[in-house]
Amino acid sequence: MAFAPFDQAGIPVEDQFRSWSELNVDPLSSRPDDPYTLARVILMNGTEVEAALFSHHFSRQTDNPEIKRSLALSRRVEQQQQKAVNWLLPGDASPLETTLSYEQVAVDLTAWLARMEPDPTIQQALNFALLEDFDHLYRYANLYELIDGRHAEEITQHLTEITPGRPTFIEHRHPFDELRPHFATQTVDPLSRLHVMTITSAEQQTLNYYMNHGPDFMEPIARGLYAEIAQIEEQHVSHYESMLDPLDSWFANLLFHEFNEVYLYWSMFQQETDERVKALWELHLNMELGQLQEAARLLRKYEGREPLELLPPELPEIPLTFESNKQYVRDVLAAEIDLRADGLLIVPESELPSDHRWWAFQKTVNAGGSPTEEIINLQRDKQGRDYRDETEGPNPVPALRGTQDATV
Amino acid sequence: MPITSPMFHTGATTKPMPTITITPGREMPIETLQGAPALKGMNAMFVLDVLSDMAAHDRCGRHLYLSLAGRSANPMLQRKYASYAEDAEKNIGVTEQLITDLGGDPGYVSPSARAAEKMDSSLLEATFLLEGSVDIMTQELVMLDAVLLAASRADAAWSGLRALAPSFPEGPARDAVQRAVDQVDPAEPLEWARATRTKLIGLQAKSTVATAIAATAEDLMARVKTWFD
Repeated sequence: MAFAPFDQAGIPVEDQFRSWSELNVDPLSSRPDDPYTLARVILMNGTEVEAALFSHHFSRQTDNPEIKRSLALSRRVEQQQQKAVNWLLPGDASPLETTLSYEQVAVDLTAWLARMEPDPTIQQALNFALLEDFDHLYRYANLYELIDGRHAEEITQHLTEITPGRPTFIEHRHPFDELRPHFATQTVDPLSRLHVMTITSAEQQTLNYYMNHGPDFMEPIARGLYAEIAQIEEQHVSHYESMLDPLDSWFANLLFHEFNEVYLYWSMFQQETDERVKALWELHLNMELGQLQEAARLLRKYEGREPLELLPPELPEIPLTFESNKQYVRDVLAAEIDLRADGLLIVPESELPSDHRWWAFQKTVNAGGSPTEEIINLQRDKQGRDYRDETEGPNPVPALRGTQDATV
Repeated sequence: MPITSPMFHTGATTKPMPTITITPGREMPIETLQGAPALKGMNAMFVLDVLSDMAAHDRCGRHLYLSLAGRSANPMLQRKYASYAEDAEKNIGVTEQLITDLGGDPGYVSPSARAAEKMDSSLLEATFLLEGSVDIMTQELVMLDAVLLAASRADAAWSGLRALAPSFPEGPARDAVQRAVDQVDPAEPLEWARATRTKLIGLQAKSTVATAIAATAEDLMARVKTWFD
């Protein structure tokens, strides 16, 4: 049965505060039965971080006491929600192990969204970055074996393959080529709006994580790898956020944020296998419903608009789902590895003119070599091979198979 | 009930632009806009774009008036704003009917309609985002200024359409335009806003309550409530 969020009162925002002991939750095991439980935690942490950042930006644009107070109230709760969610991350997992979980999220979230996306341009944008995050998983997995002597499949549990995607050193583009066409708020399918908001939050959190954890390492190769991949995450945030329509007002955006959080917690609740975590998703769903009601009240009062003018009365029928997407990723990899960005367009590399800025940018940033290539060379020197977890057969791109050079 | 906010679920369409991606089935082909038979001999796409822009402005006007009716502290202004919200809703219906009569799609959102919405939503935001740093009387004036500006644009748009009416192809198209402009009186809200602004400025300039250093928010609110009594 469809879920109608505006028919639900949820928990009033004023009643949502929790004590420190409630926020300081027991962490999950670093090897949970279901790795997608960790994936859900990572996604919802990113969603709460985005909610808090958006609220801060909004608050800086107004001195209206009622609006500022309402934003401050909801924001403090969102921050509590972020703690309760992110503190589930296992304390015995290293930053690199958490990074591998982040990349598993990036692959299986992006692939699922792309599979469900109704707008071909948005789907293409998702596929485009999917191949890049897929490659990041492979590079970090090789770093994991090199410095910890362990295999990333312990974390991904063979649900996500580990093999080269679009090689990271190729992913560096001029900033002008990172901007995509945006959807029009009036004509966009509500599902597409939710997809773009969700992936933007997830990529932003990945960017934040790498920005902060890259210097945690002593090994120069690890520091270099994080620095290089963090820059791609910056590209991905620019790529995805540029698809949002700048026409939407502050209050419309607030409503969309709350609606998306309701959709995501409802989705996580549907599929969670860990009963303790499932109860948290349920609680947060009820909290978000209360926050959605408050956003709706503000929209009515200050913009004279009903929320149902902007949003459908029900959530999408299918919950956002973490599941294995191996064949989809393989198909996209085989078909789209040679795509590059050219202004607003995504085109085959063969269509880039020889004087395109992509070549010059590549030359500049890769001038001293690329840590994401060096890590594979170090692995091959040490192990005589790179690390892969190809459960469905060899890499679908012949040039990326076996121990051949991971370049195309 | 006219469309108060064209969205996916109301069947909104838009035309292709290089910077925009459009959900399949929601693209209004350029040829369809250019080929509206009722507008033969005219720049049909431009005309339909402008009418979409006018509908957008009326839709935003309705939102503006509903918001102000709920936020003004003065009963007379509240009633007036509520009444203008009803007028705006009626005008949306008139514009939608005209678009339909000319062979267009009332759910179509032109680029100029998007620009109009941005301008209008910024105007509305200006009435509340800085509410914390203006006094109650000034806040009422800010809301009235928003009405003055919105009504001014509506007046310019409808007056322009009235002037253009004889240029439409003789017959159903011209009749439809004439019928539409005859149903709308865009000058009345503008004249009211101008006159009321003059009156408010006069009231405040002569007010002793507002100049008293010890005037409390309650004093000012009481004063605002009794304006025009």
